[in-house]
Amino acid sequence: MKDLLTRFRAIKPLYWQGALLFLATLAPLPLGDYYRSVLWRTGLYVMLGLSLNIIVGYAGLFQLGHAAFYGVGAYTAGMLNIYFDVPLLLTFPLSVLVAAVLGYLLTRPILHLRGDYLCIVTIAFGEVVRLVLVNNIFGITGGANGLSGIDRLVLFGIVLRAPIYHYYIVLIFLIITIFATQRLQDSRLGRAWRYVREDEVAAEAMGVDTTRVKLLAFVLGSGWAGLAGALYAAKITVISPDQAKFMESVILFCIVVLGGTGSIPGAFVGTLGMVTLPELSRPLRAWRDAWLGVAMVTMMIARPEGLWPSRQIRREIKSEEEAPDPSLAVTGRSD
Amino acid sequence: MALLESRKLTKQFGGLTAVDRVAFELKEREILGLIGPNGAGKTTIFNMITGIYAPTEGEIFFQGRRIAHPPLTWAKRLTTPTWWMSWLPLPAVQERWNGFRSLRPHEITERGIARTFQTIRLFNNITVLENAMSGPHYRTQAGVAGAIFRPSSQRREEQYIVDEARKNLGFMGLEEYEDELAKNLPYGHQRRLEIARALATNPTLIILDEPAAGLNEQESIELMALIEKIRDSGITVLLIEHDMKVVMGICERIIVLDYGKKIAEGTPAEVQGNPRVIEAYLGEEEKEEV
Repeated sequence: MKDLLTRFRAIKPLYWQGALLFLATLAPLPLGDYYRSVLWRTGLYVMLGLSLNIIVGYAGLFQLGHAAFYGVGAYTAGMLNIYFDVPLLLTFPLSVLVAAVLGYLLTRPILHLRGDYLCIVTIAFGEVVRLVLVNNIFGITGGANGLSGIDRLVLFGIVLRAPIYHYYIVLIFLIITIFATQRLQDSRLGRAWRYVREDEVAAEAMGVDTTRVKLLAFVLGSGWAGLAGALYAAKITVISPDQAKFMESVILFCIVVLGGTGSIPGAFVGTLGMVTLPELSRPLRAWRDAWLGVAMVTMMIARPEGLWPSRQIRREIKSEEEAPDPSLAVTGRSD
Repeated sequence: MALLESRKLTKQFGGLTAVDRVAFELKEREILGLIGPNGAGKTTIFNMITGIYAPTEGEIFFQGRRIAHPPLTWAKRLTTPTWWMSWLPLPAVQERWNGFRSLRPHEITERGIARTFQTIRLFNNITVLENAMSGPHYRTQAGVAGAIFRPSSQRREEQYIVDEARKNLGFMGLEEYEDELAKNLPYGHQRRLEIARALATNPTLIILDEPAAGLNEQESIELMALIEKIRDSGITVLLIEHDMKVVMGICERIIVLDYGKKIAEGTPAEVQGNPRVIEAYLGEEEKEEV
């Protein structure tokens, strides 16, 4: 088994990455609209998972209100389009901006909190955002019914109605997300996040401005979730406060934790388990919460590092284990 | 001018006065030892110098600039126009505001004070090299865009960071372990890595909190040589140490604390002969060698 794994690792990343991309491009072609939508949703949630991964995985901060930014992104796109007739494509960067600024404003005052305390406050502000949307603030959010009648996305004069277009749009953004997060992780900033998650006091003593670095994680993660929200609004054309509800935040958190904190393939595995499978097995969907509970308990006992963990997180959690295989130590990088 | 100077430095935790009106000076390129029985307030002084605690009273100056002072009271803040404007990102305002506020630990590191910790605080689950790469962090710039687009300036910067880290690992004799995880290093090497990491911040002053704790005799001797080497490279050293062989062996001057008060100051020989020091360490009756 280990032999096989080592041999698998020896394959040039470019090859299997290319193969995966090829598969992802062809995958929706033989499928019907319903399954194309499922693929689209999977891609969207992987994107959301990766955006949360910057906060939870890289910087090691709890964020249980991430769906709020997803919702804010969707509402920004929707409201700009409905009230000001801004073309949807233009609302994308604005959604990122609004969600990022909101991420800054909400997290700046609570950055000094640690662990569980941070977690509780993020739950609270997630709920605040949802309640603002439900209560139809200034009469512009449409209350509990949300907003409908968002325009279709128009690209080069083509009205993008079919799910397959949206799948490809999400795929493009997903590739950008993977590329960007991978590079962020392997940079000066990514290292600063690792220092902060390893030991905040020591990081500060080494001259890392921990406040700034943590804030940056929140702003990037929130902004990117805002983009996912805008993509959602562009396909579904109906948005409601349900997007920002607490359960949605929990699902996003589970995608990251079940898949493996800090791991990019982990976000895929987590999304398959949390979003795609429940969607495909509709009759069993009502059972999702039940199996989620069972899965979480089992995971915490059997595999606390996640299904496809990043190497660093595995080391942190299984720290009492023997020294890692020296043949793998040379590459020393996660996932 | 003294490199580091404290005036009436006091820290109270509730009713306990951990540090009581301590004044000391640190000259450039010297090795100053801070000793005293457990609970004498040595680490508290270190934490005030490095900005982890704010003093209750008194000030600390580094290269003539005030780096620590008691936090502003709300009454003082509200009556200070600079406080009201402190959120403005204007250089002139920030410059003025810097005169009022206490510096945060990372800003003190930027000004040239590096430290190690009494209990080792390495970044355990990352490699030795990456640990040392945390030193050049504050003097490099690459941000989000640099990380994603990797222009040549960013790659040069990464190379600079790696070079700096390697240089300091080499200085502490750790170059062959650079791909090991920090937590897998033997204890003595972990201590050295902590010093290497601190040196990587290019400090003017390095503060070592019990660097010889837990080291065996051979390792202590090696450490003494390393500390002298650090001093010879132009860095001032301030250290807390319980191992008297190390303290007496390398310190040029020693300050003795007891119950937060400075009870003696002088060369190792002077301090060793000081009756108050003997009393603090051994109690009044016994007359043994320190």
